[in-house]
Amino acid sequence: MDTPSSKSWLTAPLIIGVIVVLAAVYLGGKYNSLVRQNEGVDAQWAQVESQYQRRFDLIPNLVNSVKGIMKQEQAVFTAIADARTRYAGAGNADEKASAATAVETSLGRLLVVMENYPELKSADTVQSLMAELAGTENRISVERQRYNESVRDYNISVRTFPGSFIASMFGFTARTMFTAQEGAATAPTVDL
Amino acid sequence: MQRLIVSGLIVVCVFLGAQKTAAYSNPGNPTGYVNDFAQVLDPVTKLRLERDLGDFHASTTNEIAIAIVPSMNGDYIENYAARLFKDWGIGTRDRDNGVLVVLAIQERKIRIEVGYGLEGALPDSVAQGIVNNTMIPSLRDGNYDAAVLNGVNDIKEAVQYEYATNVAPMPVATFDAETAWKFVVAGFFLLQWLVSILARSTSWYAGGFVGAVAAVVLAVLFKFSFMQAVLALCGLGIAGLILDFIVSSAYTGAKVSGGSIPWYAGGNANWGAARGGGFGGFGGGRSGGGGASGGW
Repeated sequence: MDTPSSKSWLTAPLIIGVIVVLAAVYLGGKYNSLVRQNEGVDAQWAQVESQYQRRFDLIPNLVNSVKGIMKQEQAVFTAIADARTRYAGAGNADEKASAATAVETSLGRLLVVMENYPELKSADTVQSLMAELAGTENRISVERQRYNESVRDYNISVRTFPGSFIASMFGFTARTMFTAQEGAATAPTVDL
Repeated sequence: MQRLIVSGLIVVCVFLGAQKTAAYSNPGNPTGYVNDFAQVLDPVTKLRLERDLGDFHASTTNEIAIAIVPSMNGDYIENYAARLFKDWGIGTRDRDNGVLVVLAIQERKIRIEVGYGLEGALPDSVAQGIVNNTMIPSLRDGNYDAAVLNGVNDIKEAVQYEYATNVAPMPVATFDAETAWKFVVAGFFLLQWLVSILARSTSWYAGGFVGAVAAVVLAVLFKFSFMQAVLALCGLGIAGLILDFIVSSAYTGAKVSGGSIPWYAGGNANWGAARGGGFGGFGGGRSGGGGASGGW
């Protein structure tokens, strides 16, 4: 039978070894979850962008179908065209977000001005285009909200311990949320 | 000490209050396709819709859900519908083919929220048409039954060709992780049942006999060679004997000392509340704000 002293030299390294292995497994898992969350944020931003694109594609149809009747409102159409050009030329996510906000503002103005043209409201094409546009605005707000939720979860992981430790080691930084303008939190309602 | 408890209660109340004023609050779990939390539908209408939507799900795999809530507690309908859709997960997970019709009675708002997979079959303009032309006129008359029945019919008409079973057959059942898990659970319960019998039996050889029978069944099922069969017979027979010995003595010991019978020997164990039968919930589909809303 072993005496206690002949075994004790083994215990300390064994305990340390177990702790090191457990810590490595835990931190590795944490790193993986950071990577996953970061990718999730990217995927959600892609969802937002695809809805921006959808709106972008709908606008010319709407503009063309109302242009003939709304001849006096050239300023509105110019603003929309400018905003679209800006969005098309935008490079990174931040530029795209601000250009998209400009598109939103000019579209909102068009919708308000259209209220003055009752004959437009009864036109079938305009009616369905407006429904699609309202639907797109709502999709954008839903996907943006989910983008913000995924950024929030990711940022919490990056900023709290022990995630903050791993994050600084591998260069994960907090990401910015999409901040909506005043009054842009709700999708515009289109009463026809 | 008493002050501590009082201040603790105040903190809890403040938290509960804060939660209550938060915009979205889930009205509860779905109990079927038709969830009339505001109690405005006729029971006959409800039954008819429930059956219709069940049939529709069976033939197309599309899930159409109806939620009628008394109030949205300050939320707006677009947000409320999208969040409720997410909570309930209407439509199947791989097709996202769900539609949710939400009516908020107090706010007089209605929304048709369309899952990702049905946005093509039920575009916003069509949904807007159903809301404006089919549902709102009836709702203005206070006829909720007609509004929901006709609205659902229009929705069914729009999405009936999408994911119809004759167009896209259901994937063939394969031995996936879920099935394997069911087998494990079934095997576990079978084993527990067997053990509870062995524990109560007075014989010492019954376990060995059961083990031997199991070995023979396995040998026949998997076409064992002679050597494999002999090994299985010996191994399982001895394992059965040992098991019988252990559980029998555990059972007898518990009986003698008046303690509780171990769960593996057929004592009472708390397995958690069993799930209610019937409606099994929706399939985990998602939506992204597609659809249309209106007010009446």
